[in-house]
Amino acid sequence: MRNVLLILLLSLTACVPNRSFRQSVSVYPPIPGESPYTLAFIEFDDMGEFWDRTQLNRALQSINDAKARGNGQVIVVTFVHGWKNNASDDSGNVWGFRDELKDIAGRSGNIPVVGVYIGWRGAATNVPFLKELSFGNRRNAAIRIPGANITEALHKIMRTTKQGENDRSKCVLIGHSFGGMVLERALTQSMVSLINDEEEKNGKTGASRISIPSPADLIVFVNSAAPATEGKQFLGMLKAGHYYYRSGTRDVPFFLAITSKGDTATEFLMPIGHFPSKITKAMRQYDLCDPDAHPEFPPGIPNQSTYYLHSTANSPVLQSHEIFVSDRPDDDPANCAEVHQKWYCVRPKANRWNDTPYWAMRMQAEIVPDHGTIFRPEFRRLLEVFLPTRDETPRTLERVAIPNITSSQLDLSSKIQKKRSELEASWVRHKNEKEGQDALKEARDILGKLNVSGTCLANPDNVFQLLRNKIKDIVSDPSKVVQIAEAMGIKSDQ
Amino acid sequence: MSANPTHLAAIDGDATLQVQEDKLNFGQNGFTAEATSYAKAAGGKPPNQFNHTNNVTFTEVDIGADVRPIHLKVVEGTGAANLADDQDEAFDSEVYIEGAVKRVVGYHEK
Repeated sequence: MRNVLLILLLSLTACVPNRSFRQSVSVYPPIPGESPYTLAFIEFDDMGEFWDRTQLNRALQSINDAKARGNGQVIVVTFVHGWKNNASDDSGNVWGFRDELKDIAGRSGNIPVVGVYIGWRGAATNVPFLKELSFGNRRNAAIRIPGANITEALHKIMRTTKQGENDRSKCVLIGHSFGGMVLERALTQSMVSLINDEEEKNGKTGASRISIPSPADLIVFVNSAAPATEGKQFLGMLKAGHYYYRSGTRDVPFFLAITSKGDTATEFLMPIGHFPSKITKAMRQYDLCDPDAHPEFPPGIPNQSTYYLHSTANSPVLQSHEIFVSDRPDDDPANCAEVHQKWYCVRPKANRWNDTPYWAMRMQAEIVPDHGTIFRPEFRRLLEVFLPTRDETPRTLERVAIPNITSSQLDLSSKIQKKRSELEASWVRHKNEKEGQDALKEARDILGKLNVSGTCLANPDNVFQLLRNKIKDIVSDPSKVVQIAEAMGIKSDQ
Repeated sequence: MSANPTHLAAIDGDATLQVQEDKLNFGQNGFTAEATSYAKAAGGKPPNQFNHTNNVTFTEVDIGADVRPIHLKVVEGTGAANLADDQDEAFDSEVYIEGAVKRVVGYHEK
């Protein structure tokens, strides 16, 4: 009993104070020769509220001031720290971030550099053993704090940095460990809204490009401790919508989840850490009798808990790219980073499911050796591979193009449509009669011939929606008209 | 109709009027939808697409409804399109045809 009391007492006295660490001064202007960058802090309390909204205003002012000094150009790097860190000078991440900024400023020429450090209560105690036990508690904080305030701050930083498509300023956001989860949760919903708005605008005006209004040049979740259930919904939306994201002629990531192969914390400890909380949640089984009708679900993953126990970058089925090591650069050197006389080149993973602009991959331990050591020139060099270069046009989201077709394919597609409308009409008008039931049976038979079977055919409304979904496949692959027409009993004239 | 799902796609504006009409009809058949807007792309050449791009919005038809073929017609000037009574206008907009901007009316037979 005495021991328990002692531990409790120790834990109370060793609590990291629940306060802002940058109350009076939150912006540190450049000091020539010593720290040639501006560092601004914005802190959030354990509920996700600004400790002091003026910190945001000061940070935005410092970006504007830097832009004025740089003739309209600035490099802004925003960093969200993870577990066991905060905005105090005792936090290793604060000093690591300073080193990072110093290096960037040393190579940026006359372009001013501003770092924005997003602070939250990632450390609740300083007691060594208890610190390790705070995983669940601090994970819950990382889930809780991404609310209106932090989303507002991040969007205002991005907007202030990049004012319009022609703004050459660079804006990079990085979240590490639980900070990756904070960043992802804070941005995902607003990004979905942004894409939906642009799509709506595009449909109305007929504009060729669904252009994101430059939210950032790069958004990175490094060694993120967020379960893949966080990213999977957005990934699924991008997959189902056939979105592309390019800078000039080069594919670039909209979101980048990247994890070191040396990061044992997220590879092995995270599943253990998440397991207790998994027990309290209802995880579904994916019962997809027609995977083709659900492009948002990767094949071969039967249970949702697989995503909950692993991060996006550590989930092989969600990985979009791989990094290979070579003695010389790839065909396109823009995809490679030179690190210690070797080339680390990024390429799409073979047979990948994830071909969306949400990139996920693992990197060699030579780039980042473990979970925590992320402030390294090797990693910086690799991140530059993902940045758009100066010559590239602003980023855009695009829709797929209708492919070239033959007259026979067009003819068959019209017959397929005619058959589809006949079946649907019979069902809608004669549901309770033999004609309607026959149409339903025929639609089920057609789907069976197209390898759709199982419980999803039980609901008649599903049956006709599935039929439409199957027909939709011809847009991306016109050759499929033959297979669908045959299943429907339609004969080709040729 | 307007509450039904929509699909956006792009079509090569360097193609002839007939090829574009065929592609629109193929898109309609694929999406079980009717073209409800069609217009030339704003801005310059979109990356990795065509030299001239036209954007189309397809709106899915109600369950049991037919997909009516779409027809394109180039109209000179700014006056009325003068469609027949059985022709249901889908759009009247500037579109790239063989790379040149033309006023094109799209209609479905009622």
